Order: sequence, then structure tokens, then C-alpha cells
Amino acid sequence: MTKKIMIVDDDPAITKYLETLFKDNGFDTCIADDGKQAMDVFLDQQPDLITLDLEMPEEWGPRFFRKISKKGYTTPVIVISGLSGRTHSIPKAEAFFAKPFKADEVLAKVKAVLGV
Amino acid sequence: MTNKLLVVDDEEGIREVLEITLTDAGYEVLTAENGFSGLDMVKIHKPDIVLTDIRMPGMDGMALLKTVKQSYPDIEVIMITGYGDANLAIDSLKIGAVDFISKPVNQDVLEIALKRANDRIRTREKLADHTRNLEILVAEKTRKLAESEKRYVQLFNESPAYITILDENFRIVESNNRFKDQFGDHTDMYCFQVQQQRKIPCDTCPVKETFVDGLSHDAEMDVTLKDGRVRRFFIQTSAIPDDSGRIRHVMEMCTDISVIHQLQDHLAALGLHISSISHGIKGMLTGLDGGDYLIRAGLEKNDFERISKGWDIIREKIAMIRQMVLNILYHSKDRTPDMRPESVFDFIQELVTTMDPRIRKAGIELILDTPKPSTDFHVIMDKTLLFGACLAILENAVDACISVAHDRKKLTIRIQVAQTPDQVLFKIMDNGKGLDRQYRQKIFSLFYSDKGNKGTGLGLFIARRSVQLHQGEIHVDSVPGEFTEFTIAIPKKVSDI
Repeated sequence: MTKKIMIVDDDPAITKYLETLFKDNGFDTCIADDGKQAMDVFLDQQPDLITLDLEMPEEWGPRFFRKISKKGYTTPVIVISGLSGRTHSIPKAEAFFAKPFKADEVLAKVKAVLGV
Repeated sequence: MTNKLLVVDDEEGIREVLEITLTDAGYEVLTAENGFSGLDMVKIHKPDIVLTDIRMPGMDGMALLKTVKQSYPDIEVIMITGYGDANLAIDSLKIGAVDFISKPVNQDVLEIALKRANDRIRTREKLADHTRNLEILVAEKTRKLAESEKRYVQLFNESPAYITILDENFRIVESNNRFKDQFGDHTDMYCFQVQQQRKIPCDTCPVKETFVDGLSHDAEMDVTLKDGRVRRFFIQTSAIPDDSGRIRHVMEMCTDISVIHQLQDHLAALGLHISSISHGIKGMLTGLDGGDYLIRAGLEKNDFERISKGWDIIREKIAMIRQMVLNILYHSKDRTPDMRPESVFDFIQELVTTMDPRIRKAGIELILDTPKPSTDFHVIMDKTLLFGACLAILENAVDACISVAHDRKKLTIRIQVAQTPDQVLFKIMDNGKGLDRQYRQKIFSLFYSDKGNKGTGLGLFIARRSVQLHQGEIHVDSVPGEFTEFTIAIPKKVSDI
């Protein structure tokens, strides 16, 4: 079955980029513009993996992650952020990529986590 | 010391005996045969001691004693009494004689009486000396006190800081010369009135805090000098309690840190906050990567839609980078405002024309409460600067509306131009997401943005600088979830900058 990746980022250029990248490599995608909207999209789409930006207006990445963890979800998360350090990162994340990221590396990690 | 002594007696024999005896004892002796000539001698020679018979024809001893004591209280008088003069002798003591001796004169008794007179003279001299010293001491201390008071007033006045003493109502009770030079002498006026041109106390006031807890507090504030210049002050306070310990006054000491502040801003702009800039650039670079990816994939697959989308992203990111670089360059240079009278109607038209496409696209209703051609008036401004400031606020207003577009029936932005006797107010109000208190404090800081990747954190910072260059003020009022209102207040006449 096709795996679905949820992209959470407030920059439409980046969501478009990741969406195209993942679709070209045979994944389904869904998009959320910020942490607040992300919960609705997540519950509706039940993705297999999330790529998550940290700094977003309204609600930031780690808060969204805590919310889904509280609900008992263990969906793997890959952090893709402009923040240089891992200080604000999510400890349980599968990987941390700093922007600008290398598409190959992100793709390889996604494939490894999803086992495809 | 040889004492001058006057012997007054009508009996020559006694005068002679006493003269010989007393001269031998070391006195300079004068003699007189009755009260009148005695008194004359007293007037001329001012003896230290007068030895006088009580009973004499003409002016007697008692009358002489009275007159001498009245005119020369320091002259000691010894009475010589005859048999049966005991009562007179006692009376003489009452009116100031130092002692009396009886006739015939006994040498030992005379010595005792003279010793008593001399003791009294010495005591009086000592007392006079002491009094004199005391007077000199008091004069010296008074001079020192006055000098030290003058010194403290001088220290207060010439301190290289602006010092005011304020009462509980923030009234200026005292201020030093430096303060008066720059703000004028405004004793009894409120500090917020004098320094901030406000009608009510400032939101954050270190003086208020010191009145509450008695501790020293500090703050940074923009103040307006009497010539209209705006300076950045670092303010420190300390409590001045009265004898009962109650804080009746607070001292406010201000240091002009405008230069440091400008330097800080410049340093920040020139590099200290490079991490913030690079954060923005990282986002833009990622976007460019995305555009590049879409174009390459589009070229490979002959997919024009992809190429077009990729190109749109690249153009958008290039525009963002350009804007950011312009902002940074703009900020890193000093700019003297180019003040000219401008039509408010034209100004608003231009603003609306520039923003209209974005406002329309977002489905926002724009309400204008601004001058029509018939009610138009001119304001002296640097149009480019003020335009940039209004544009930055409008951009924020649109973003604030867009962020609540999904749960708001009607989105509105209202632009209003109003006038007070000395200011022109530009108000931009939106019914978007609003700003909480914490954001409102930070919103004008350099590189502060709540817009994630979309904001550079420069817009409102530069807006504030632009308004300050007009010697104006910028305020923000907001209720989270309801509205945000920015007010730019520009003085109608601006002094030379």
C-alpha cells in the first residue's frame, strides 16, 4: 500500500517542494500550514510519517508533536527546520534536517523509516 | 599683671597708708578724697578695683558704688566701713560690691578682699575669653556648614546626569541644573508630562515601583527634550525616606544613552543578529531549492506546469531576498529625512493602490476614513519613510486577517486619518488575530517576527525608526482574537532636524 507523508510547514514554497519530491518518489502526501491546522489534517488523513517544521506562527512544531503523543500516536516524525541547533528539537524525532536540506538525504531517511 | 587701683577716702592718713601698702603689693595706686573726684578718676583712668570709704561728705561711698556699677559693671568695688556700718556694708554687697573691710584696716583682711576682687576679675576675663572662643567656633562651624551645603547643591546641580526628585503623584519637587537646561524648569509639573508629553503616567514606571517596594529600579525610555529632540534615557531610581521611614520622595537619575542605543541598533543590524538573518535566508534557500527541483523535474518530464510553479517560487524568494537586503542596507546607513509638505489624500491613494491587490485577494474589506479631495490637507513628512512605515503596518494587518480567515465572517482593515491641535494621526486597524501583551512589547524590536519564515523582523522596527525621525510616536493597541490598531502620530510642525 502507498505510504502517506504529512508535510507541516508554513512556507508554501517548501511544502510544494516536499510534496513534489515525495510524490515523484511514489508517496502520497497531505499538507498543513501550521501546527494548529496540523491536528485536523493528521486525524483526517492518518499519515504514516510526518515532516515537521519547528518555527511556525500560531502553534509551533513541538507542541503539535506533544499533542499527538498524548493521544497515543507513535507516528514517526522527521524535523526539517531552519533552526541551526537541536536545542528546540523533538527528542523522539527520527531525524533532524536543517534548512536548506539535501533532498537525497531526506528521501533516504524517509524511505529507511518507512521501510521501503 | 599690675592692677590699677583707686582709693577714695576723705581721711588723708588712710589714703596715704593704703597708697603705700598697695603700691608695695604691686598695684598702680590712684587716690581721691571724695565721691565726686573718685568718679572723675574712674572715668579717666578706668581702674580695675575701687576701694572706697562708705561715709564721706558730698557723694558718699554707696552713691559712688551705685554709679560705678551702673556705668562700669566690670570694675570691682571694695567698701571701707567704720564702726556701726554693718547694715550699710551688707546693702553695698547687694548692689554689687565685691567685699567690705572695716576700719582700722587690717592687712590680712585687705588682702583677702583684694584676692576676692582679683578672682572675680579673672573669672570674668575667662568667661569673656570663653564666650569669645565660642563665638569664633560658632562662626567657623556656620561657615563650614554653609560651604558644605553649597557644595552639595553644586554636586546635585552639576552631576553629569539628569536628576529629579518626585513625589508620590510623580510631581517634580526638585530638579538639577542639567535637567532644567534640557527640559526647562517645571517644578510642580508631572514627570510624564515634562519628559514624555503624556497626560497619564507611563505604563512601566520605575519610580512607581520604588514607591511600592523601596528598592532601586531601572528602565529605558524615549524622552522628548524642550527643543523637541527625542533621546533614549537609562533611568535609575532610589527611595528617599523621611525620618519615620516612609517613602515620601523618589530620586530619578537619568543618563542619555542615545549614542549607545544607536550604536547597539547599528551593531545589531550590521552583524550581531546575523543568526536571525541567516535563519530567514535558510528558509529562502530551501524555497529556492524547491523551485530548482520543480523546474528540473518539469524540464525532465516536459511538464510546463511544474516549471511555471517552480519559477513562481524562485521569483517570490528572489523578491524576499531583495527586500531583506534593501532593509538591511537601509538600516545600516544614516538617513536624513527629506521633509516636504505632502497631500494626505495622495498619500493614502498611493498606499491603497499599492496594497489593494493583496487586500482584495485575501477577501478583506478596506474601510477608508480619510480626507477626500475637498477636505484634503498637507502634512510635512518624508513621504518615502512614512510610506514604508504605513506599508509595513498594512502588510501586518493583512497577515493578521489572513491568519483568522477560516473563522471570521467578515475581515476588515480600516485606515483613518485624524487631527489633534498639534498632531496628525494615521490609524490602521484590523480585525485579525490581535497581539497579546508580550508580543506588543517586542513588536518594534529588531528581528522580532511572529510570522515564522514569512517575516524578517525588520518591518515594524524600521517603521518605528521612520516615525521617530519625524519626531512622532507609534503605538499599538490590541485585544487578542479581536483587533489590532496601530497609531502613527506625526507632529504638525517639526523643528529642524
